[in-house]
Amino acid sequence: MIKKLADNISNYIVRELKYDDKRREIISYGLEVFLGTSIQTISILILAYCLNIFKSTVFVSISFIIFRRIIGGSHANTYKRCYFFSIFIMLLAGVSGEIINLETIHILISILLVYILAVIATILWIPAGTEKKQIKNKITRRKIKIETIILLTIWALVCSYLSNIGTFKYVISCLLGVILAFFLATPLGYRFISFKLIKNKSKIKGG
Amino acid sequence: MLKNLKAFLLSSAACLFTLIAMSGVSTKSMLFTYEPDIPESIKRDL
Repeated sequence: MIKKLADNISNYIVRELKYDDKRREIISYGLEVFLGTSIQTISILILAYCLNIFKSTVFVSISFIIFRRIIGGSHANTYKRCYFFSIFIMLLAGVSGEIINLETIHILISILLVYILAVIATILWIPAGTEKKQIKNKITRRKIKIETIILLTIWALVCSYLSNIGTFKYVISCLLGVILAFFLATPLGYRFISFKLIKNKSKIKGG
Repeated sequence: MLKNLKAFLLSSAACLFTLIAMSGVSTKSMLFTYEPDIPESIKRDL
C-alpha cells in the first residue's frame, strides 16, 4: 500500500517536472521511506500518549534510533510486519520504562552491564546487514565499530551522570532503547524477527 | 504565479525525497524495522 502510494505520488511529481525514469525510481524510494517512517512514528507517539507513556516512549525511541542508524540490524520483510512489530516493541519498552523503578546503584550497574555487552556485540556483529544492504568494506566496518564504541561511551557517561543527579527519570527508558537496538543486531534478534542471518566472512574473521 | 509556486513545491519535494533516498543507501540504517527494496540505479558497494 505504501509502495503504491509512493509510486503514484512520484509519478505525478515526475510528470509535472518532466524528470526521467531513473529520478522517478529514486523519488519513489525516498517517498516510501518517508511515508513508512512517518506513519510508524506518528502511530507510536499517538498510542504512547493514549497509554500515558509518552515521555518514556520518546526516550526509548530516541535512544533506539541514535544507535540503530549506525549499527544497522534485522529488518522485517514486509511493511505490515515492520509496522506492528515496531509499535509493539516501542510501547512495551515505554511501559517497562515507566514501571521499572531501580535504585541509583542498580541503574549504574545496569548501564555498565549494557555497555560491556554492547561493546562485545559491536566487536562481533556490528555493523549488522541484511540481504538488501551489507557493508562489506573492512575499513568502513572498522570505522563504524569505532564510532559505535565512542557513541556508547558517551551515552554511558551521560546516563550515569543523569542517574546520579536524580532529576532525570528516564534513564531506564534510554537503557531499554539501547538494549533493543543492539538486540536486533545480534543473531538472536535476526531469528526473533524471522529474517535470514547474513554471515559476512569479514565478521567471522573478527573484522 | 501559482504555476511557479507549484513547480517550486514539487521540485522541493523531489529534492527532499531524493535526499532521503540517498541516506537510505548510505551506511546508515533505516530508522525502524522495515527496509524497502533499493532501486538498482542508486545501489552501491558499501
